[in-house]
Amino acid sequence: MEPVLIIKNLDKSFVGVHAVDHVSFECFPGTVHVLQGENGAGKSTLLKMLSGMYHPDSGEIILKGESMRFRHPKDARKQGIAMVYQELSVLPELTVAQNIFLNQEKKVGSGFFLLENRMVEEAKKLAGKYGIEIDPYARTGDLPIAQQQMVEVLKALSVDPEILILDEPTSTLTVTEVNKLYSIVQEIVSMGKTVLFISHRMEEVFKFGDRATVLKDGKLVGTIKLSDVTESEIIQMMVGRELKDVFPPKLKDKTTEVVLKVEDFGDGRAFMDINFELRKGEILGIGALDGQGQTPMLRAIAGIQHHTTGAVYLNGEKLNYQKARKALRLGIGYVPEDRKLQALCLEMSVGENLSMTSMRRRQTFGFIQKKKEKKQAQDMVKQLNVATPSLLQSVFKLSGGNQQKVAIGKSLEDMPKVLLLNEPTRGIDVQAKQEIYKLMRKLANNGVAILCYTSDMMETIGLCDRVITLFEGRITGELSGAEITEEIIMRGAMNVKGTSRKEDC
Amino acid sequence: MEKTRKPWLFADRHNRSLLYRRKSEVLLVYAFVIVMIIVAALSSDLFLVTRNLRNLLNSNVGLLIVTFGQLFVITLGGIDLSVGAVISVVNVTTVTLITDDPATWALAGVAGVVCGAVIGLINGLLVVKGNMQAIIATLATQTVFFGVALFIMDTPSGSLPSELSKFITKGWNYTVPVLIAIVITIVVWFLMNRTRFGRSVFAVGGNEQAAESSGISVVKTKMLAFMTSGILAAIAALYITAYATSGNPLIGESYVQRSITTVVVGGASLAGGKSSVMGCIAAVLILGIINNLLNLLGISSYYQYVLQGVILIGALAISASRSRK
Repeated sequence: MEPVLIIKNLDKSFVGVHAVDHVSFECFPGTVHVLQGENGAGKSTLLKMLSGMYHPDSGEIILKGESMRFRHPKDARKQGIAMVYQELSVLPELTVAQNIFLNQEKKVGSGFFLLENRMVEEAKKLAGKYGIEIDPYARTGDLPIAQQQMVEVLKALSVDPEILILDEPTSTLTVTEVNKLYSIVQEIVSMGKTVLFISHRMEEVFKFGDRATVLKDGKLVGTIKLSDVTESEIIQMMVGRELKDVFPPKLKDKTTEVVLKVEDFGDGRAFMDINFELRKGEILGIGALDGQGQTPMLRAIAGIQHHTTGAVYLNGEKLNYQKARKALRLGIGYVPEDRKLQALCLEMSVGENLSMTSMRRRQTFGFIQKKKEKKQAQDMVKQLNVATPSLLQSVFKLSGGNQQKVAIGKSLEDMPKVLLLNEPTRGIDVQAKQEIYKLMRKLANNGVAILCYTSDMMETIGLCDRVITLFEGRITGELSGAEITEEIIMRGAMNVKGTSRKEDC
Repeated sequence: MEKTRKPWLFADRHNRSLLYRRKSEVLLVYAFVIVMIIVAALSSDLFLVTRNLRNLLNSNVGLLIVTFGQLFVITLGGIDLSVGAVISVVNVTTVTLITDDPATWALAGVAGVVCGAVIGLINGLLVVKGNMQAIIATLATQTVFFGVALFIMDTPSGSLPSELSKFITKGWNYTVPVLIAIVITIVVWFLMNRTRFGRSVFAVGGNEQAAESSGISVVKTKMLAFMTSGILAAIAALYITAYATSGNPLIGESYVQRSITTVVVGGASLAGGKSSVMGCIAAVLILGIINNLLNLLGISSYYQYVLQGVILIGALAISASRSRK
């Protein structure tokens, strides 16, 4: 059979990151082709090049024997590659039909007036063709998420593409909805089209997929027929990276003093039945792929977001907090994942940012004690080794690594007992990363209990004394010591049971 | 010990240069004030005359105080369109209450400030509890309270005892208005730069999420900022009333646009999180000098509107080109 899509030596770098490194593979008509890899393996970048969002640095995309250059997602759609994005992009106020034909409306003549009826007819025809049941008149925002996703799929199918790209389409769906999607995908494939598919659920990879391409650190590991391999073999292909950053030594003696206890914690949506203990002086890692409920969970523990079930105990005392203010006061510091959007006031100075959380402790009748504030901020800058010419420097003029240090320093000013870190090293250079590692260990050694999520699996392995793995909002395992290996974390993070072939022999 | 200490000039040099860089925009505005003074002095012989300069100062104290109120809300990332209505309501209320009996003077003053605080409170509640945008909420309250002002007094009328208005606007050989301006400036500067409240205003305007997760009460900060704006507008109204010596339900109209202009010209970002008390003073001077000069040259006041609008557009353009949001 002739491949419909050939990817040849595709290459893409961002500043400092080789996101996709000379990757080549082929897709055949009438098959479902799965892309697999850890966080940051390059899957999304690759798909975005295929859909015209990014431009490859070098390499070729050959569709039906013709080399393609996409300047815009519109070009890719016109040539027959349509993508359904992970985040829903339907407009809730429009009807289903209006959404499907958005920006390709049926028009009268030169196109000032739209033909609403024609669009409804076409939408019905399109949905019927793939066996999808949907009301074209419905307001899209009123539909359940699964149906909204069908609107997205139909929107992509409306251009009659050769290649349909689905980026984690099942992450928000229930089991019956996944089965429905499966039959629709089968319908699409039976018409000779190709579906490119990303999923973190191993069972779905095997259920949906015919062939799989595995990426690791932007490089191609291999393309395989899924009927020839087991789940464990795929995981083994995905892992096996080198520890390339230097991590400070881990805790020697196991600490036993529990500082934070989380019991049956859940918000009924993103995370549930969370039970774990955080001990004094340790770094506890969360081993998970992106979007498994770790961020809502951390935010809920920090009191920024509500929870519906369970409780959090700090030093044995049940916490009754509704607001971040309260949690901070009780000694739970949180460093959010997006320092620019969530942690820092960029226009304000380093000193002002650092002292924001602890203002109330350095005041008399509402007046800020300038001298005390300056001294504390200076101490913090020195401790964290923030490279800033002065406390008066605006934060936005600092480098990403130094901004991150200020963001962490901000939550340290109030002397927390527990520090929650969400992606503490996102978007900063290697040297700054190492400084953050050292800082985290230093804090732990000083008795702070740290709970940390990072999307870089190697950091979780190199940094954490214990790891809990999270999959779809539930804890799937707890590891410590020598158990903390990439493979075991990945098993937990992808909820794969059973032993690997290597251990079998 | 003496030996290790560096000469003061070099002690913190880096700090100093940074301080200047951070304040460079404010210095720029002051440079513009000086340019304006030179231009004005060259264009009219009447400008640098004691009587004219006195006039220039005491006619702009009201605008300065409203500007300070607006400053709090704009730094917060909002905008207060109701300051004009506050001024009108306070103006007609005080004129109605005041008689020749000095006891009523204090009563009217207190009543005026309470009016301002209440309108500020309503604005704050609409924004915080009603989840409305500041621009819409205050647009609504502005309309309501201009209506209230017209209800209390439908045509310009009434008058203040002349000894009262003379004392406030010309007392002690014109030092009273200057003293009022200085005292209020000091209070506002301290509020903005040396108190938790002021810091919180900057933080909420700079990044609401970060402020909330830093333990700052966003709700309280917003409420207080709107109330401060209302109170300062009311105090301004007392001065403006003394200056006008009579009641006029439409007296506050022009102050909305003028106070926004001065805050923005003074270096504030309409996105919030960035502003300057000292910059406001310079901006009020710039607007005052322009109006004064146009009057001296006998140019129609219609041109003042055109010019003020153009200045606001210019300041907004500069502010927008600098903002990275």
